[in-house]
This record gives sequence, C-alpha cells and structure tokens, in this order.
Amino acid sequence: MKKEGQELNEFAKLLHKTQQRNTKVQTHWAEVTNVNWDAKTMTVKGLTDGLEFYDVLLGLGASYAKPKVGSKCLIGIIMNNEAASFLIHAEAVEEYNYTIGDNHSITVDTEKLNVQINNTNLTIDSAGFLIKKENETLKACLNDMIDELNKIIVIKGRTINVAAMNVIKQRLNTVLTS
Amino acid sequence: MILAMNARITLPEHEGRRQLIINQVSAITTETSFKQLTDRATVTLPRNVKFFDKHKVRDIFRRGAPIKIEFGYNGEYITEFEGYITQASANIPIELVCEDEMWKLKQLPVNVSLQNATLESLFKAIAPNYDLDVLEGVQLGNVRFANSTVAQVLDKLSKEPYNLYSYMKGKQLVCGKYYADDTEEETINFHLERNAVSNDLNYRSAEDITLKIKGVSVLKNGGKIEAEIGEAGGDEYQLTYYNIEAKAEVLKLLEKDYETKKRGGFDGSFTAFGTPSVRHGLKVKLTSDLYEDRSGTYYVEAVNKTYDNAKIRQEITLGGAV
Repeated sequence: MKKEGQELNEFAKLLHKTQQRNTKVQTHWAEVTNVNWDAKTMTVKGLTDGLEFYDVLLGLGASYAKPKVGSKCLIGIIMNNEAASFLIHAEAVEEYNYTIGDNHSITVDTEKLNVQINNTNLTIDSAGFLIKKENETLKACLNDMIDELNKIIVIKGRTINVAAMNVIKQRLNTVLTS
Repeated sequence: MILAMNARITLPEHEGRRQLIINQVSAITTETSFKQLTDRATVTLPRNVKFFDKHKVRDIFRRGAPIKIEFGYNGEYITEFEGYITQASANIPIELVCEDEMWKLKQLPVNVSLQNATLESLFKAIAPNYDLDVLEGVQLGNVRFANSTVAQVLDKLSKEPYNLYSYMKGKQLVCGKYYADDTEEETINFHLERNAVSNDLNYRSAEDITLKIKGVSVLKNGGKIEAEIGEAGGDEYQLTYYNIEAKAEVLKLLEKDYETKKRGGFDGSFTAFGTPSVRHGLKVKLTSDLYEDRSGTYYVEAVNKTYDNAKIRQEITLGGAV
C-alpha cells in the first residue's frame, strides 16, 4: 500500500519526465565542413541527422574561434530556431581571436601569438619575438645600440671587442624579429 | 420545385480490388478550408448492404485507398471530395474517414536545411514531385527541418511569424495564396432570405479594425531590423523573423499579414442548400433585402458540407470582402 501523496509525487515525476522529453534539443554535436573566417561563420553537419547548419556564429565580436575543418564541435541553438546557431566548443581550432575594449587584442593561430595593447605589439612566432611600439622595434633599438657601442674608442683601458659585440648582435637577431 | 438527392462514392481499383461504386449512402460530411492543412470527409454507409456482409470491410476499404465523393440533386453529381481512406470502422454502420492528398504529404519525410531560402526553394526541396503554386518572393532566411514530414513543415509555416497557409487543390500544393486561387471563376450568388437556410453572420467593417503590426527580424549577429505597419490605438501584434536582412522584405511580410487582418468581412457563417456548390477560394455575392449592409462580395474561407437525413447543407464561412 502506497503512502498518501506518493502517487501524486510519482505522477509529478512522470509529468516532469514527459516534459523533458518534449523539450526541443538546444545543443547539437556536429562536424565542421566549411569555415568562412571573413564572415566569422561556419557550416557544420549534424552528427545525428546528417543535415547542415548554415551560418553558425563563431563569436560575437569579443572573441572568435576558427575551428578546424573536419573537427567535431558542439553548437547551441538561438531562440529555439535551428536555423540560427552558434559555436560552443570545437575539438580542434586553428585560430583564436580576442578583442578587449577598442584597441586591445590577442590572436593565436597555428603560427603565431599576437598581443596588441594600444599601439604596442608583441608577436611570438617560430622566428622569434617581435616587440614593437609604434614604428620602433626592440630589435632595431638593440642593433642600433650595439652599432653605437662598437664605435666607442677607449683611450685609457680596454677598447670594446667589436667582434664579440657583433656575435651578441647576431644572437639577439636570432631571438628578436622585426 | 422538388430536388431529389443523389450521391456516388467511387473507389478506384486498388491493390487487387476492382473498382467499386457505391450509390447508397447514409451520410457524408466534408470539411474544407484554406486555413486547415487537411481537408477531411466521412462517409457513413447504410446497414443493409449484402455486399458488405459477404466481404471483409478491411479488404474493401483499405487504408490509403483512393476515394471520390460526389453528390448533388436530380442526377447531377458534383465532385465534392477526392482523397484517401484513412480509417474504416469495423462497426455497423461502416464509417469511412478520408483525408485529401495532404494525407500522403503527411507521410513524406523531410530532412532539409537551406541557406537563404525562399518559400519557393523550400517547397521545391520538400515536395519535389508535386505541382506547386507558392507565393512568390517570400524570403525565409535559413531554414532547417530535421527528421520531419512535409505536413509538419507546412504546419510550422502556418504559424507565426509567417502565417502562410497551405492546402491541396486537387493534386496541386498551394501555399501563401489566401484567396488568390479560383478568383477567375464565376462569383456565386446567394440571397440570404431566399436560398440560405440560416445565418450567423456578424459584420466587421475594415474601417473599424485598428491594427498595428510590428515586425522584428533578428539577424545572425544579434542585430535587429524593425519595421511597422498600421495605426496606433488598436490591436498590436509583433511578429519575429530570423535573418531577413532587408527592411523592405520585413515590410513585405507585414503588409501581407496586415492586408489579411485588416480586410472587412464577416465573422461566422451561413448555411445554404446543396446547390450552388461552393468551395473555399471562390467568391460569393451576398444579397439581403432585410439587411442591405450585408450585401457584397466576399471570399469563401471554409465550407463544411453535410449530406444526410434527406438534406444537403453547406455551412459557408466567409473571409474578407473582395
């Protein structure tokens, strides 16, 4: 014999389960088939129904992710309309782009990391570091400094070792880029 | 004038069963409307037909078998319904439930996703083997219907924001054309006091309808395009569209809706005899000696017909004024 109110609880649970079943799916697993990086959208194919989702948003302006074609991703549905969707996460990405405020940004792709703070820029790639403020780069500054140091003639004491300085300059130039 | 009723039910040859023509019918009802996706009919057969005693009802009236229903007066047979049997009762009297071509479309699977679709491109994708008559120039934006049926797609289109009704005109699939079809056909005259059995009509004038419709198109980047039509101080509606980037397109959709809602006409229906036979989409010219303001020409929105108890009746629902 069931306790008083137990049937009602079970009925409420069943009702809740039925409601959950009827709720439209708002997220989908999909595979990236095409990326339009200029428009910051992509086309993906739903993994369950094999049907395309067109113009999937890759971001809204503050951040964008460029997923790799062929990778799996999770997308969300906007306003209960399957024809409007956005990228939540991707299995593999080729580029991330973040914009903070009007003049700050960070971009990472398969080749480089770029940080821009107003007119100061740091770029790291396989060639080295580019550190730049307006038109001035750290590499150019240090090279100019070494060139100037090499010109110094010491009357009393040891003169600068130009050859050693040039080696240092070469070493610096393998780390810094312009 | 004496009018003798006659009816004929034709069941063409189907799955090995030879053609069957039934001339004795107890009752027939048909329901047709352009706002209703599926036109329906029921046929009640008489109890004392020996042919049905000899055969199994399910063998004769198979689900999906084509059926044609004709009835009229004095030997005239007017085709009132063509479709398929969807249900045949095993009880006595035998009752056949029928649906029009839409019944087939209900079973047609749809798995389609289109970029920047128009109404035309969507219909070509979902019902490629059908003769189509679709409202031109309607932009839908991106559409996606996964694991669906044609009927589910049409049902969705009939709801807001599009309010695009679909129906079958014989074998032709029509969408978005409210009254445009059949307007070339002759207008049917009715005199409310002479050849209408009863009426329950409430007139609403176009001038009395104050209406404002606001349309918002939500763009894919979260932006929106807004358009408005109508006058303030009355009913206000908002329709939400997706990815329609041109304001002119939003306005075009609003105008279509506004025109339908703003049109003067009648609420309710009137009941007429079986002749002249009326179907939705036709124009009806009403005349009344008692209420002259009711006279005018109106579109027919829906017709429900009954054939039973020695009478044929047509319950005609009127749409807007022409």
